[in-house]
Amino acid sequence: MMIKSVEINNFKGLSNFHLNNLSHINLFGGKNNVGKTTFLEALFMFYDRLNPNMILRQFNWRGVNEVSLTPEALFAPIFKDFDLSNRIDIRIINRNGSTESLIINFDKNENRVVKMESIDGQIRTDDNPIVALASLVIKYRKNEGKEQISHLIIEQKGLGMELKNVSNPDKNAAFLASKSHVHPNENAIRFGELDMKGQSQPIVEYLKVIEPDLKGISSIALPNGTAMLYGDIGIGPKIPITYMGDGISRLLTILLAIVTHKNGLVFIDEIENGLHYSVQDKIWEIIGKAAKEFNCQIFATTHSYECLNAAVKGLPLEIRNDFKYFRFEKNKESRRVIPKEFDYEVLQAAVERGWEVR
Amino acid sequence: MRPNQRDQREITKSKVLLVEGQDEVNFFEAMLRKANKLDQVEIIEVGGKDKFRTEFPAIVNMTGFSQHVQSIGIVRDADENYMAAFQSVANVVERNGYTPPRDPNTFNSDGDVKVGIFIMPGNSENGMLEDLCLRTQADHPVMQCVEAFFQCIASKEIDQPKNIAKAKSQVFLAAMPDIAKSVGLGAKKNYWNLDHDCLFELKQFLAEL
Repeated sequence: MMIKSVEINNFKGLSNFHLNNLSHINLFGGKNNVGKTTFLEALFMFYDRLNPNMILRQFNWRGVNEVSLTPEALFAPIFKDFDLSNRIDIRIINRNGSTESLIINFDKNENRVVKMESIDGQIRTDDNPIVALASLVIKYRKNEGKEQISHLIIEQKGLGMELKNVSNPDKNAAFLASKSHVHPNENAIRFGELDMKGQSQPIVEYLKVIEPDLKGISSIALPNGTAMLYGDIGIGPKIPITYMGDGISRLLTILLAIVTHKNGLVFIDEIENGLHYSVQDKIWEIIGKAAKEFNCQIFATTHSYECLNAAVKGLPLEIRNDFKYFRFEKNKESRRVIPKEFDYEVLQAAVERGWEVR
Repeated sequence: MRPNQRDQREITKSKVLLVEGQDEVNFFEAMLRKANKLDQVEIIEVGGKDKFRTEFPAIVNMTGFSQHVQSIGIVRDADENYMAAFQSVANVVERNGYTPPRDPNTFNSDGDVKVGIFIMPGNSENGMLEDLCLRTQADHPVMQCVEAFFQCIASKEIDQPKNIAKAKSQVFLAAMPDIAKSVGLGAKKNYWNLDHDCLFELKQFLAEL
């Protein structure tokens, strides 16, 4: 059940934004600040709506690691013009015709009981208990079904999510941010989990496209309590995967996301990051095949002409009809972001002729 | 240097003229220079009529198009069927959300972008750019030699040239002082008479662009 169309209103810089004809593998380009990452964040948040960190992690992806616990600092950045009185509205139409909507608004006067804790046993006058009453009201509805309401609440020690009669999202989603580096330990843990279930072999097979000598991968526990992936390339001792050439760790991260999100969604911001141009054709071949095999819908952004060129060259013939490129463009007068749609053949024509389509 | 690491072409002008190949680019550069309009028009070759289906959407989605372009002219050869050629271009235009003109060699001003289609050699005839070029020099003394040459050829039992207009234009250009390998380069060297009345319809079209 893939996403076919998306409408976004009042989420960060995207308003009155309509994107139709999404495909299985979707690549997004456009100038800096046009809203590519914002689009991925909006869509990911839709499926991350029951996670108390649904907003905090967006800061983290953009390199902001500390935020004060106030609605202005925490909530306002996701609203258009930083204005908490706006109402975020995200609507999705799936390929099977089902529709889903997510509406988020800020409520500073929520009538709820908040448990205040004394942290150090002292009476303090600088605490502002009003803050504790602020929340985001998140309303989700599928088709004509009942509205499911959750609250993201600022509490004394952080953010809390109050859930009542809500169901889990239909699809699982993973977000690979451009700024976060590859985490060898995390990759090793995820690979280990797949390995235990006997599901790691496809990853090895895909990596063989780049490293033909690869025979197997092992997740090895290190003395310091972390884990790392080692590859067997037939030379006797196994060597750390990270030593095995350009981009293999980044590719492994992407593959792990795809394999562990079967029938789900994977968002990849700046897909070319950490990938040397010389391997990018093959990366697209692998991503294309893996996305099809695991029925995983891909949403990736890029700045790079080489990445577009690699997608055109690398995507296997049988996958080309399942690919779309969208160039986001901001209309000068209305400031609206308009997506320009390219199917594979059209992108190929543009790339081969050296026409600027980023 | 990395592969394909080059400056990508962006549209920066308000008028775009789409033509079939590089030689048409040369020809229209000569025409537009004569009309003092060359600096206003972005001439783009689509690499052949078969490519138009994929290249038209690429061009209208290209960086700079929606920001700058107010009118777009499309030129292609009629070849064997004038109306079929027009209809084929009009269909591609329409499929991509633009309004084609109702008739060949005119523009449609509905919508944000004006769209015109010119079918060579014009005048509702079948043929190609070369036919039009030859017509501009129909009265040139060399043309008698060209005709005589092809009459001579026709009398021989050999495989005859498949494209007479192309062949004749090459023979005509071969008689010129400097080498011009194609009709477009011939236009740049003034070997075709760009003031000839037979170009009136095309000039009208370019003026409207």
